[in-house]
Amino acid sequence: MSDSLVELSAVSRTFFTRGGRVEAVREITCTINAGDRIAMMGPSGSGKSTLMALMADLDAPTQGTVTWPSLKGSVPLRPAYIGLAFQTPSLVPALTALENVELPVLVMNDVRQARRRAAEALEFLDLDHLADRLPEELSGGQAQRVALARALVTAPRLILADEPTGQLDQATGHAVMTKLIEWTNRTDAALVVATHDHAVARQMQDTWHMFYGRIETTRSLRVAS
Amino acid sequence: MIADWIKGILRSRVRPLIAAISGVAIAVSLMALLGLFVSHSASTMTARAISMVSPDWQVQLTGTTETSSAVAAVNDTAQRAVIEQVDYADVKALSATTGGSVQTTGLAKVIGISAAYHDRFPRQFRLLAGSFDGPLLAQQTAANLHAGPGDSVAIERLGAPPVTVTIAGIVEMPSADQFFQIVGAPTGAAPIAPPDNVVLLPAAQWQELFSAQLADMPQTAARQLHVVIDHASLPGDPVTAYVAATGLANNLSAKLAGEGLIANNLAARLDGVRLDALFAKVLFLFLGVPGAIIAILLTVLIVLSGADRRRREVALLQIRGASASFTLRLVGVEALLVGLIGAGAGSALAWLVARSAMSLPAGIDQAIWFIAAAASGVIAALLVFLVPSWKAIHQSASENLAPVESHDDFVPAWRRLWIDVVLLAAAGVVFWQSAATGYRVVTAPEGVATATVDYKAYIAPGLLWIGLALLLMRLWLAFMKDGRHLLRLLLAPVARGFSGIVSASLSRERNRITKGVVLVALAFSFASSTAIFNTTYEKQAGIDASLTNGADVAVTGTIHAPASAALETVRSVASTSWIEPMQHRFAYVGTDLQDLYGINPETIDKATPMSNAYFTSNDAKATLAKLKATPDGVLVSDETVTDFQLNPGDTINLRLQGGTDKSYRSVPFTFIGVVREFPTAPTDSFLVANSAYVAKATGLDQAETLLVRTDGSPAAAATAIRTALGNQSPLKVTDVTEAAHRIGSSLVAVDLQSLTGLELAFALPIIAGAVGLVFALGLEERRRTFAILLAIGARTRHLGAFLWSEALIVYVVGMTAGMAMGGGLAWVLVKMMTHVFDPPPEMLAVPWLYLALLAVTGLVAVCISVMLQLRRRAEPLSFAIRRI
Repeated sequence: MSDSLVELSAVSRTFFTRGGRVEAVREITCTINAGDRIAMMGPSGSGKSTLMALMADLDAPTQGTVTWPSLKGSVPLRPAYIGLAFQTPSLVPALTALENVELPVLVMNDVRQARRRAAEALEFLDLDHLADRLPEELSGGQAQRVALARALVTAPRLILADEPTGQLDQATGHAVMTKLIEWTNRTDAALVVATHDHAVARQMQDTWHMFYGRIETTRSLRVAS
Repeated sequence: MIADWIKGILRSRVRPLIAAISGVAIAVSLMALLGLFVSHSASTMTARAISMVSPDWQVQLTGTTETSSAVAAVNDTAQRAVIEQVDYADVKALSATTGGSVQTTGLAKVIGISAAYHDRFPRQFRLLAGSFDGPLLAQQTAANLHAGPGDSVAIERLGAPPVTVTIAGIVEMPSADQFFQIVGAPTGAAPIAPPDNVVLLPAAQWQELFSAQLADMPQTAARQLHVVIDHASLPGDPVTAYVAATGLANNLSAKLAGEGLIANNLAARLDGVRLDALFAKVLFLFLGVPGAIIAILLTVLIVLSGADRRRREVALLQIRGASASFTLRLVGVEALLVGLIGAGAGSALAWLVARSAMSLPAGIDQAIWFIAAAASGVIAALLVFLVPSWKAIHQSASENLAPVESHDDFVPAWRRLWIDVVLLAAAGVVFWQSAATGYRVVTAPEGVATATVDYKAYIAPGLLWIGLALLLMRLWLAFMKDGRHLLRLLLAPVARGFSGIVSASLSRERNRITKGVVLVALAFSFASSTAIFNTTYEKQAGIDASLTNGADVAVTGTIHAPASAALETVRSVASTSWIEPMQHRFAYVGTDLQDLYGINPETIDKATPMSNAYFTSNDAKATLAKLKATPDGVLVSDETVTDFQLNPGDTINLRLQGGTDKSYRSVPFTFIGVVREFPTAPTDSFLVANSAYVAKATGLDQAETLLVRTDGSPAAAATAIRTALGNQSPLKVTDVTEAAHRIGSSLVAVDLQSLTGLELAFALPIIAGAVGLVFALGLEERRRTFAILLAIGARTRHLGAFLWSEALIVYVVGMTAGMAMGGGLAWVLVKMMTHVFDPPPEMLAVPWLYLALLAVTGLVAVCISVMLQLRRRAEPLSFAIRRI
């Protein structure tokens, strides 16, 4: 069985807006393997989020192909194999922390295990005491950690985090990243983090620099562009 | 700046703008159509009522009055009036020799009319045999004299030798009561029966034979002018038409200055209709106005859904130094935009619906309704925009920018003070007081020109409506808060594995959901109350007609010419399914002459429905069984029981006409119960007894009436029976459809069927709008929630679990509660309008098929709404997650 989780081959993504044509991603070829820790850096608008959306199957390329060689199966990629975390906490406001974390398990139709697995994920992030709180009753850091618990609850093999610490103070951001890396170490999942924070990037094995939709590598071992 | 502001509004929030405009448009068009309905119904009532009046006035001239001067006075008072002179003379007797025997009548009347009279007053005479060219005999007179066209009839004049005339034709006089009425009789005088024997002569012949009698014995002869005024000059509204008709007659009376007396048949007819017109107005207000209120409510909620954004805009304007008046002007522009476009669209919609779908007149004369409705729409739009903005304008920018904390646990004042329960209790008290005192919603005191509506009547249903809506809100909020586990079970079939999450989510959004539930309930109560009331009304109108006519078809004779003699002839008509002979005699109770109906209690219900409401026991079956078990039993009216202090089992001696000499004799009966109504019976006192006992006691085994149940059309059966009986038959054949037209000639003009259709047409967009509004109120939050769900891998069915659950809860609960509220309101309306019904309905008639159609159509609207919402999520996920 291949260790390659995502393979992008000459992938481009172009948007057509009122202002004209925007080439968000240009002919990128790359692979993400199990256990990778990759930081994606680059200025705003360089294509980081679009590239992550393509990897997460949230979007389709205009040119090229995206494949998930070792994630094939009858089960959809999300939430079984790919977990997503966003810059903002992204919790459903009408649901408690526990119910929010349950959501991906319920989407996988594992109704019986949903509550137990959600409780375990919260416990891993030391959030079990907040299980019954609504998002509006949580601080920004607490809410972001709950969102992270939701990304991890299905034990995905690829975690894509788009600036997960962007709105957190340094200490909280560091704690969140530490937990993420601890989880990936425990499960051998791949972790891709889009960030502007060099401290976060330093916690990763590899750092990809993006500029105008292309990847400029610094410590890349596997990227060809 | 204002132009830029408008451009900005149109560019950035066209959807909420369209929604608010639609709300105003629905309210405006509904109000305009209701107005058109009211005015059209009133005009139809007037037109129907006066079309059956002929002549409008009977002006009886005093002995010395010159006919020409009276005609001039009439022409001066009412232009384009049609005037005919009619002369009346009393004679001692009529006699005819036919078949070798001589028949002689008692006192008779001889009438003189011109040849043109038949054309100008076609309703007065119906030619049964022969022709109008010469002397005519009334139908009953012809039967009494055994005379027909070509026979000679001798007229024994008063103070002059007899004359003989040759009969040219036989006529029926359908309006004989009116034709022979005593002109100038004091108010409240009992009407007199028309003469039994009548001969009609051409005017010239009457002049030749009776002008001397008119001059010498004016108390035995009279001259009248029969007048039809130009009906087009009368106002459409029956109340004002009544006032106009009365005023015109008074004017003529003043001009005649005692030289003539006027019988104002037109005003008398309009007098009855003006009550019905007010009933119609009350009905429209009861049934139609809630719809307009709901549409406005919908608009209010739509506008309030953008209140946060508007507050932020006010804050930004304040930061940039905009004055309060300038800010108010900008908000006012949006309000005016919504108000004017909504009012314009609503008026156009009303005009289109009125002209195309409902055939209502919608011209210049009706413009007032459009203007009033449009003005109300604009005012409503200004209020719903400006009132919330007023507060924002008068607080600081920082206060306006601060997020509004919404707590689901916040308990508003009305819930803390139990206002809903207070309103319901107040509605109960007002209703009970009204019912207990037996007051009438509409009153028209005798002698007073204008009728009045007791507007207090609106209080009970109004309080009930608001109270029920608030109670529903309270109960549903409590259930959503504390009944989450039950909610989860209820949602399991729709949301499946998501039921727990969905029920939790809905429970926390209970305020928004409950608003939708109440709005949908109000929309359904609006549509269903009208439908239930309408069905009950139609059913009662049928019973009323049946009660008046007696059965599908009634064949009526007299004690001298009983209908039972024609039993076999009637039986030979194919479409009759049951023929029930019923005696109709007269009996003296003390000195009071009452109608007596002799029936077979075992079979009477085969010909005509026996309603429980006919008897004070409220049990028709038991009462008829008791009558059957008591051969000499008699049912009497309430009034008789009171007047004669009767107790069950008492013996009453009635004097009945019978035997070969038709003389009155005393017959003992046993009082067994009280009857309120009975087929063909008058509204005042009457008696019901066993026909076998009456026949035995009087020696007259005959039935004066035949009640006929038909298989098919009563009108067709009646025609067939008339044909079978022949023109010479003295029996009168009437059918239930003409009775319905007669008794309902005014109120039936209230086209409740169309009103129901109109309300259904408006209820559906309101229901769809209410469900759509629930979605719209949570739109921003939902779009974000759906983006999150999609990002974590949810599929359409998972999103559907949220949407379908929400929509079905709002719809099913709203619909069920709304139908129940509609039923309750219809019941209250029926009770409040009880004087419209004769007899009052025993229970509501529920149009199940219509309600099912309403429910299904509403469900389809909801399904479309949900599917449109689900389609909207078809944008690329990469866009969707930007909302996160």
